[in-house]
This record gives sequence, C-alpha cells and structure tokens, in this order.
Amino acid sequence: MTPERIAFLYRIRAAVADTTAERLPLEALLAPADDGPLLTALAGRTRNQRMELLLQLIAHAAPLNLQVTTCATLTVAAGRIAAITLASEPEFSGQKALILHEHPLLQALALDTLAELENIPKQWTSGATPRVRAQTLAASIGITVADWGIAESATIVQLTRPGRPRSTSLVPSIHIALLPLSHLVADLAEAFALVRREPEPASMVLISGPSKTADIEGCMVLGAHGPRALHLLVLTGAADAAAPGFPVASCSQCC
Amino acid sequence: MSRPTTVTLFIQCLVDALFPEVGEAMVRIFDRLAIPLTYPENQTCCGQPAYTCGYRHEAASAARRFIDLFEQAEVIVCPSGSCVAMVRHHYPELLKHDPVMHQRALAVGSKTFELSEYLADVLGLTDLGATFPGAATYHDSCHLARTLGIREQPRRLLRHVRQLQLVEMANSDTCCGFGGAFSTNYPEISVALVDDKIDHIVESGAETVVGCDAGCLMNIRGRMTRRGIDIRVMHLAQVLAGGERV
Amino acid sequence: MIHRSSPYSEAARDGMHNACLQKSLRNLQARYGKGALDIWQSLPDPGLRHRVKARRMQTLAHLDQLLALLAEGVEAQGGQVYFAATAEDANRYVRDLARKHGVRRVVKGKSMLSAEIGIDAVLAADGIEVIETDLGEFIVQIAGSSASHIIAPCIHMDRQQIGRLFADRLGIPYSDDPPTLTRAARKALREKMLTADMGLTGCNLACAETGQISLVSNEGNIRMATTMPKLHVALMGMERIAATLDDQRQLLQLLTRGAALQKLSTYVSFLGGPRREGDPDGPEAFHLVIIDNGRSRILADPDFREVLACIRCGACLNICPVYGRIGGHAYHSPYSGPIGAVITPLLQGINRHADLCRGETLYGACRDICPVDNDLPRMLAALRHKLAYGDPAWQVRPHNRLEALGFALWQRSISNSWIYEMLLRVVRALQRPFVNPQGVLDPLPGLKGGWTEGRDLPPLAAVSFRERWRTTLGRGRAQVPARSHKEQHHDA
Repeated sequence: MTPERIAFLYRIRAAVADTTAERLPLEALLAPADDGPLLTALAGRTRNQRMELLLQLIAHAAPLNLQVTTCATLTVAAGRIAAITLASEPEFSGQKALILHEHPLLQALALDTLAELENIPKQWTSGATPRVRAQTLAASIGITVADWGIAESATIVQLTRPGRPRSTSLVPSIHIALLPLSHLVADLAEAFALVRREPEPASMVLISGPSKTADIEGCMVLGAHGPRALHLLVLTGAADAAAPGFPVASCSQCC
Repeated sequence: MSRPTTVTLFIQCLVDALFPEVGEAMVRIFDRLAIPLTYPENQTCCGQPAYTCGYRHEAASAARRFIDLFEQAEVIVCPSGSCVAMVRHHYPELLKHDPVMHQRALAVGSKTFELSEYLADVLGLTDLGATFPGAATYHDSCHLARTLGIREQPRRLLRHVRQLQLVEMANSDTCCGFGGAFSTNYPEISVALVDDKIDHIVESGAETVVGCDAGCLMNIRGRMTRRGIDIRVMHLAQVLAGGERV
Repeated sequence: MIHRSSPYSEAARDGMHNACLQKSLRNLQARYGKGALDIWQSLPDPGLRHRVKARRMQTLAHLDQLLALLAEGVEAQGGQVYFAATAEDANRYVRDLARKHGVRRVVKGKSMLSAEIGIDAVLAADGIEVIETDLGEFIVQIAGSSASHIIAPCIHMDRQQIGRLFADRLGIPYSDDPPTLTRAARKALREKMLTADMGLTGCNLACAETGQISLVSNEGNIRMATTMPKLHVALMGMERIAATLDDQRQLLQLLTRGAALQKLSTYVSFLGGPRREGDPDGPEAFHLVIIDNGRSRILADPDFREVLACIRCGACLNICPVYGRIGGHAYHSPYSGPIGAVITPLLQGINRHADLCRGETLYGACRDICPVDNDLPRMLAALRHKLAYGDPAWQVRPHNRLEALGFALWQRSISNSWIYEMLLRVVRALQRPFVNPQGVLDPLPGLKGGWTEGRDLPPLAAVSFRERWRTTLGRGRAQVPARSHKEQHHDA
C-alpha cells in the first residue's frame, strides 16, 4: 500500500462518512447472485428447448448482420467454411489464408482433407508469439470455437485460453465461429452464471456481430476496425455431443 | 368524488396581472357547477421564480406566507401546474429544517390541486357542458406532466367538449422553451425550442392550442404572433368555460 | 442578466446555425431518445432502474473498499494499479510509463476521461504520436475539432466535409460515400493499431468481484488497442466500478440500451491484467490508472453524490431539447448534455460554468430517461442555489449581485399585497406609451429585451384578476375574511 494509495482511499472514506447508517455490510454488497436456479434450469434444458433458443438467436442475428448457419455434422461445417473461404476476397493479406484456434473441435473438422481448400494455407494458433502474430496478420479468415452463445442478443462468448488468442477473432477480415448447440444459453445472466464457474480467464469478449460504425452522418457501415463479416456455425447434430475434448457445459442429454 | 363546501382560488401571479381572463374562466366554471368560491385577496406569488433562479431564502419566505394565507382553506385550486408543483413538491423541501412549517407545508400541499386534476380526479367530472368548435391540440407543460404526472385529465376534459376535435401533436410533452428566467436569460435557445413546438402545433392541423400553464402559453403565443401564425392559444379554463375569446 | 455574449451563448448560436448538426441531432434524438424511453417502459421488470440506482449508491458508500479489492484483483493477475489524485498525477504517471517503455506511438480508444485530464497534449509534448481510433474521434482529431456528442463525436460534420478532410489528410481521392470513407479510415488506422507501442483506453465499468474492467465498442478499435500493443493503459474514473459481476452485467445492459438501443454493443471486452503464460497475444503489461480529479469532493456532498452513479450512456443527450439545439461544443467540456451541465461545473468550477447551471429549462426528460434514475434537474437547481448566494465550501461567489438584489426587492414586494398591487399599477401606468396598436409591447431594451427580440410580450392587463374579483366577480359571495400575514399567530 503506497502512501498515495492510502491517501486516495482515505479521502473517499472521509467523503462517505455520513452514509454509515444506510450502508449495507460489505459482505452483503459483495455476495454474488445465487446462480443455483439458473444452473438448474440450464441442466434441465432439453435439446428441443435449445432448438427454440436457436430460432431466437437466428431472429436476433439478422438485423446485426451476423450470418448464422446450422450444421448437422462436422462435415457440413467444414463444407461451409470452405464455401465462405472460396467466396471471400482477402482484404489486407495478399492471399486467402486461414488461422484457427488450437481446439479439438476445429481439428476434428479435418480441413486439410478438403480438396477445395488444398492451396489455402491453414495455421494453428499454438506456438511462439511472433509466429502466431505474423500468421494472424497474414490470414484473411480467423476461425474459433465460441465458449457459449447467447440467444437473446445473438452473442458469442470467447474466453482467452492458452493457445487460443484474442487476435484470431479480431485481426483477420472475416471471423468464423463454431458453436455446439449444447452451449447455447438463453441470456447474459445464464452466460455469466457459467463464466463464474470457470477459472478466471485472462480476458473475455462478447461478440454480437461484425464490426460496424455509423459515425459518418449516421450511415451504418460494416467493418470498422474488427472483422467486416462474422459467420456463426451452430453444430446441431451428433457432432455436438461427440466433440472430442469438449466438455458439455451442463446438459447430459445428447441429441 | 366529493363536493366541497368552498373552493379557494389560488390565482397565479401571471394570470392575475397578464391573463385575468383565465381566472375569470375558472370562476365561470365553478359557478356553473354551483360550487362556492373564495379568493384570498392578499395572495401574491407562490415563489417559483425565486426558487428556479436559486434564491431559496426568498422562495421560502413566499412559501411561509402562502401557507399562512391558504392553510385554512378546505381545498385550493390553481390554473397552473408549475405553481402546484412548487407548493406540493418544493415547499416541504424548502421548509424541511423547521419541523412545524414542514408539516404545515405538507398539509397545504395535500389539498392544493391543479384545475384539470381537481375537476377530473377529485370531482370526477368529464363533461362540463362546454362547447368549442374546431380542431384543438394540447400542450403538456413540463411540471404538470412530469412532476405532477397529469396528462390524461386535461385530455379527458377536452374530449367531452362539444364540437371540439382533439388532435395530438408530435412531441406534445417536449418543453416549449419557457423555463421561467431561462426565456429571458437565454432567449435564442428559448426561441429555438418554441419554434420547434410551434412547428409541431402547425403540423397537427389544429386551429387552437390548449395548455394549462400561462407561462407556456405566453411563450407560445408571443412567438406565434411574431411569426404571423394565426392559431388561437388558450388556457384549458377558457375552453371549458365556453371558449369566449378575449 | 442577459448572457448574450458568453462563450456558452456564442457556441450555442453556432450550433443552432449549423444545418448539418441540426439535422443529425434531430434524427438522433427522434430515434435514440424516444427509443430508450420505449425500452424502459417495456422492461419486464419496472423496478429495475430503481434497484440498480440503489446498488450504485451502496457501491459509492463502499467505494474505498471496492477500489482496494479491484486493485488487489488486478495485481493478482499481474497488472499494475496507480491511484491518481489529480489529472497532473495521472498524466505524469502515464508519461513516465511511456518514457520508460520507449513509447513513440499511442492508439486510443474513446475516453472522455482522457480528454478531461488532457493526456494527449502531455504525450504529444514528448514527441509521442497519439492517434484516436474510434472513427468519429479520429475524424474530429484530424479536423482539429472536438467531439460534440458522447457516442457520436463528429455528428456536427457532414460527409462532404469529412470527404474533403480525408482527401487532404489521408491523401485519398475525394469521396463523400460513407463506406468508402470508412474503409479508408479502416486501412489507415489498422496500420497504426498494429504498430503502436501503447494502447490507451478508458474504462466503462470495473468489477470488484472479478478484478477486471469492461470496455464496450461497436468498431473493434478498443479490442485492437487492448490486444496488439505491448502496453495497455486504462484510465478509470474512480466511481466507475460495480461490486459484483451481476451488478456489472446489469449496468452494461443498461449502458448499451441507453446509448444506442442495443442489447449489447458489438464488442464487450473484459480484462484485468497482461497476457498469461501460454497466451500468444495480449499486452505484456497492463496499467490501470484510477483517477479522482475532483470526484471525491462530489462524493462528499450528499446533494451531488448521486451524479457519480452515472454510467455515461449518453441517453440524456438524446432527449434534451436544449442540447438538441445547441450541440455539444457549447458545453466547452468533454461532457456535454444534461450530465455535462452538472458534472462540468462540479469538476471544473461552478462560477466558471454558470451558464451550464442556468442554461436549461429543468424540463425533466433527462430524469425520465436516465437508466440509473439520476435526478439531474434537482442537481441543476442545487447548483443555481449555490450561484445565487455563493458557497464557500465549493468556492462559489454569488453569480449576479444585481439579480440577487432584484430578488431581495421582489421578496419585499410579494410579502405585502398592498405594495405588490401598487407596483403593478405603477408598471401599468408606465407601460402605456409602449403598447403598440397590436396590443403588445414594443421591443424593449434591457430586462425584457431578451424576450421581445423574438417574441411579442403582452402588456399588463388593464384590470387585474384581483381587481375584477373585488369589483364584480367576488360580489355577493360569502367572504372568508382576508388573513393578513401580520395577524397570523404561529402555532408553536
């Protein structure tokens, strides 16, 4: 505790001296919300109920220019990624190139085996920082797996984890995120209940669509400083439950 | 919905000095309802101008005088939302350091009503037998609508005026730019605001604009005549009393 | 009494004559102002804002403990925390940090606090290039202007102006097409963000429970500024802290709805320290600078404490008709609109910003729209009270002695109805030569001149209501004896 810190905090304490009577005890103020009911509701949610949430997500995604595709299998998802890649134009990098989070689900896509993507470099985000940075800058598409999706606001939640950097969903012109249906929750309160159960990540970001701005005369333009397009691939089939190394957050029911 | 023995008139200073016809209209309304009236002749001002400009000592002095003059009244009715808001909301606050005066302020406030509020809510009346032909629009003044929450009552009363076609203007509850001293301290901004209000009035297609606050009406009318716009500006009391123009 | 030539009035006049600004503000207010009110009205839980306000006030009552917790949490994640009592302290800390790390280029996320403390000039004086990355802030920066709205900074400029600006400063062929201009800025700023040594942001809301701060944006510039440079410095107003993650969540949801009717902004980032072991990106160092700069004084005053509950959503700007006409520059502060009218005098001097305290109608829409239920009109009235008589505690001098004298005389005249009536009769007599054939007063200089410039002023009526009552209206009625104020005995 440095002297200036002590003085700073003391000045505050003196300023609120008159609030003693109506002040809650600090423990009461800091008592976290009881997540029990939310987590119970999450655990009891059926696949059909999650399909309902998916419909909500799709409805909310449309005005946000978030492109949602449902994929029954990983093969379908891989095909979709190939289609997006082929249809895209590199913006800052000279050529099309993919960078992917080091994630079992993305590895299971086996993109290397796709003929359409044969000549397109694919890099993983594990390894030394300078290399990852260079490859991210050289990539035109970044691919991640969302930790959770939120139906109410068409949002994906990405936690930073070792080997899964922030820049993958930020620097390349296009971002593709995969989301297993079992990880789709209703609203931000549910998502935060799940976040609270995780060991604290270095950082977390909630993403609700591609980057945009309306600063010039109120005209909406996509692609300010983040990706100009965001594609969300929701895995609804057996791939969902069978994703290797991918812990199902709450529901033990398979599709 | 009880009928009082006597209604005591609280006539806003602006009405007394500049728009006495509004007070007269109020008298006609209560006479038609056969409700006895009284008017404490020593009343002057509720103190709002001083309060709004920050001069709370002077405002408190006006408050104490008002309470002395009016607290024996059975019920007090005023044709101005801002004055009633002053009495109900600001008097207790101004006098909060004097427990006795504070109580007296609360007591007076609880029996002070704005005209439309009194007619519609307390007396439970909607039809006063008035006639006023033409399309009219209603301006929600700030203190009446926001501080006192009175929006429906004037409209209910206007809807029952024969041959009056009530049309709503856009942004009826946006400030007209009067704001008391604001209108003379920052006249250009004030005029810009009243111009917006007048544009909405004109767009509504109304031939008359009705309000419950003489300050707003003076502001709107003053700018309208300067702009050469020929729409009548009337207080609710005048419309309900039969709509004779002065 | 008439402040026609004050900086406030002059800038207000410029704003009112700026056609582009007027059009933009009108659209903004019609859409976002009304939109926010609709959202609050259709909240499934009508008591939400009230409860959130109560939590904010409890948070402020525990502010020292929560800030200490936050600092602990950040430090546990490898970040550093500096508590800056003044703007100078904060600027010195950041400048020294920049020097220590050999910083030559800084990219900024939108931060009003950074404008409040004036950090840009301090860094520029060291030869450091400071670049705003929010598109609107970038535009006003290269135009040499300043933001006129909290959320939409360059609302006062039209696409042609911006097109000319970009042609001139970015060297691109002239275009007034917003997507083309945006792409040009995207390209120019990407380069800067990828090569900057330091990212400098504000902090929307910190959380004591998690030891992390949250930052919102739609453009992605804040994510860039907090991910790519080696050093991230976040400036935080000391009051911008939530106790629990749940508080933070609720406040963020109110913030994005109040600001732009969004359930969530495109990006909401949570962070509290540098990169961790195994993270391939993220800053190597994270510094949180918690700033007082006059806030503790506001906190100590029960009349104004609640203004610190503000989450800077900007909704009040979107509903205020005064702001809607005069625009943000008239406030001469990074904080404009109704919140600016209260916080600027409190932070920078009440006399100095007397116009901000007095230049509103106290209409009340800002109180209706505030997501944390702040009563800005009440606080403006309290500021006017200080200006009326002065206040040594806030170093306020009485603002206008002539006006004070006027009200002292006014009090005398209204406390005696005989004097009052006499005065009215005198004015009535005096006004006669000035009443023109239309029945209104001729334009007058001085006191009423402000009114008559733009509006007709009615003369005093020939017969007042009181006189009419006395002569005709009141006749034949059962009289209640007039109680003179002098006779009144006070119940003890």
